[in-house]
Amino acid sequence: MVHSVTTRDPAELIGRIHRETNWGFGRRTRHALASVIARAYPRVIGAAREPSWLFFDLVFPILGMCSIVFLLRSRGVDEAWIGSTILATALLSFWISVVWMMGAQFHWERDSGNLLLYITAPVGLGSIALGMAIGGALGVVIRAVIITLAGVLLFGAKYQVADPLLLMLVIVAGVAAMYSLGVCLSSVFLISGREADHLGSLLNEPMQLLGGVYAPVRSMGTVGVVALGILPLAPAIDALRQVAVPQLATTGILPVGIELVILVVMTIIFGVIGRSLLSYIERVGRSGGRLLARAD
Amino acid sequence: MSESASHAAVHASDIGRVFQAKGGPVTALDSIDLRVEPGELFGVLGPNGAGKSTLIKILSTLLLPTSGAASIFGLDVVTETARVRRIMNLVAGGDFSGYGLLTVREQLAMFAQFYGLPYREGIAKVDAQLASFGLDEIRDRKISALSTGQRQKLNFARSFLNDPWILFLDEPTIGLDVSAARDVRDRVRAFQAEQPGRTVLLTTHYMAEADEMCDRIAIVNHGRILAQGTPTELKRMVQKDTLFIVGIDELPATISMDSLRALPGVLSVAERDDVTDDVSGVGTQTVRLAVGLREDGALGGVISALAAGGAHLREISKSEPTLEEVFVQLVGRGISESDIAIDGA
Ligand SMILES: Nc1ncnc2c1ncn2[C@@H]1O[C@H](COP(=O)(O)OP(=O)(O)O)[C@@H](O)[C@H]1O
Ligand SMILES: [Mg+2]
Repeated sequence: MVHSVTTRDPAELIGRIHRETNWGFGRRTRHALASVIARAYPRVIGAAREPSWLFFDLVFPILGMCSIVFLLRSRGVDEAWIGSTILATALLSFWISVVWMMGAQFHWERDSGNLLLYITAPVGLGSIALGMAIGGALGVVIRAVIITLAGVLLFGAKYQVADPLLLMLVIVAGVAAMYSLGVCLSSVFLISGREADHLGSLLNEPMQLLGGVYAPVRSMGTVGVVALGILPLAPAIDALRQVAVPQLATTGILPVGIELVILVVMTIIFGVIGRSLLSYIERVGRSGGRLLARAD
Repeated sequence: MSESASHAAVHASDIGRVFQAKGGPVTALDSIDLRVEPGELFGVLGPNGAGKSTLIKILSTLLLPTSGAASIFGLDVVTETARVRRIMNLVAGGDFSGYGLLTVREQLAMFAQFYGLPYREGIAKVDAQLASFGLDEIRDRKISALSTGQRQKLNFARSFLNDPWILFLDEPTIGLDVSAARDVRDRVRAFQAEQPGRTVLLTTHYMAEADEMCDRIAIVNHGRILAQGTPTELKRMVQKDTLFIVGIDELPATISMDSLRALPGVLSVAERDDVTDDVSGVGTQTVRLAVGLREDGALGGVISALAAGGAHLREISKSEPTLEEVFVQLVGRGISESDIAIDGA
């Protein structure tokens, strides 16, 4: 009761506020980009700040990789397949982060109260999701590199990359498609609520199989072809094998160029679906009153 | 929208909100009309389940009303959400937002970006807020290592980053100790004083907090506003006149209650039954008279009359009604009682 109410002309105040809230295209674009970077930041430094996470994130994939390599060797399979397994494991670490981290992200953001702050801030959920994806992917890069190096050192895998640019394109397109799907998963998990946890474990194992981590998708017939059409992991691994392990260039289910196109198309389609899922979340959250509220 | 409505900081007309819950529809808000002027600190006071958070959610664009309309500085909360979000901020009690592994400073810097501040300006704002909340010492501490009080200060620091024209506070001091709550209230007042027109809408179920902080208060229960006004106006509702308690040793034989009642400005005189035995052993008691007056000045006449009759004055106190009494009169029970009733339901 100490301060005095309205010591200024209300019309002048309203005019000023209305001008302030009128953001032009330039300002909105700059804001969206800055928000993407701001949201990516904690994901990137997370890996650096918590070395223990890195440790656990590495131990299991590397152990899994070892067991497959030993299995392949005991069967006398061509050494080229071992190199391929290592690369697949490296790519798989992106996929695991998509299913586990990205998938649960919005759910977690809601329960921690962040989602509520994002919705009431001028930032769009699209920028948040994009920042989350880019930060997540960058955070996994170190992991993927370490896995590859470990494979090379432990098993002496040899790679021959005739076209490094193509290799980069395949990796970037594969990772982009996976994280684009990740945005969809994150939204779906939030919408489906508690079942999300089960969904996560449900997705992981079968998708590794379908994604061709253990065996080339080609050997899986029709199922493999379907996987190639839906799961980004499948064309990504198939293309990576063809580009990086020349002896296996003929084992691809489709030419690398086409797989690359598939990955780009997937990125776009999942991106569009993700965007509409995000608007759905905001719309239904505001009308229903449950989706955005903390479960307490 | 009418000219006067568009000049209000908050204007809500006939807002209703029905939730579709498992047990059937729940009416959280039922025809709320509210007008908050620019620069006001407006309080929404009510027990648990009254609909306070629902109202804040609707005004802060988190929730749609199922009927009625509301605007913030003339911007519609349903159709102009993007613009509303550029001038508002929100603190909810018990908020544990943020990323545990970020430092205090990093976390604020992240939000400054979300609020659309240019990078350098954002960092400068962050540092200014850290200083003003006394969080400088822990600026490089991880969020996960903060105490509840520190977290809530951090939430407030965050909410000031974009210099909001309207700040929504949903039970902001819940879980804070007395001194932390006082700090936070002081900062809110200072924030408003810095820039005329900054408006705060606060919900609380603490009577004293509402009484001490708010320019005006709306008392809500079961999704309806039962009364609104300044704390003084609300208290007037339960007690229209000023009431003094006058304690004397005994009522002189020469003075009758009726003669006191006949004095100018005196509305009522009644003997209170809370006569206390004198513990000092002198053998006297205190007789308490409840004297209702048209205005404070009339007390002089009563005191002189009693003194002239030979009565010895023991005590004089002004009886102030509390918001609690206002609430009891409006709702028929105390605010904490109704808490329990709702919680147990
Ligand atoms: N999302 C929801 N679904 C169903 N009922 C709700 C929901 N949110 C609030 N309510 C109900 O609406 C009423 C008002 O709730 P709320 O606004 O949270 O009250 P307050 O903040 O005053 O404690 C309560 O009865 C509560 O149970
Ligand atoms: Mg509440």
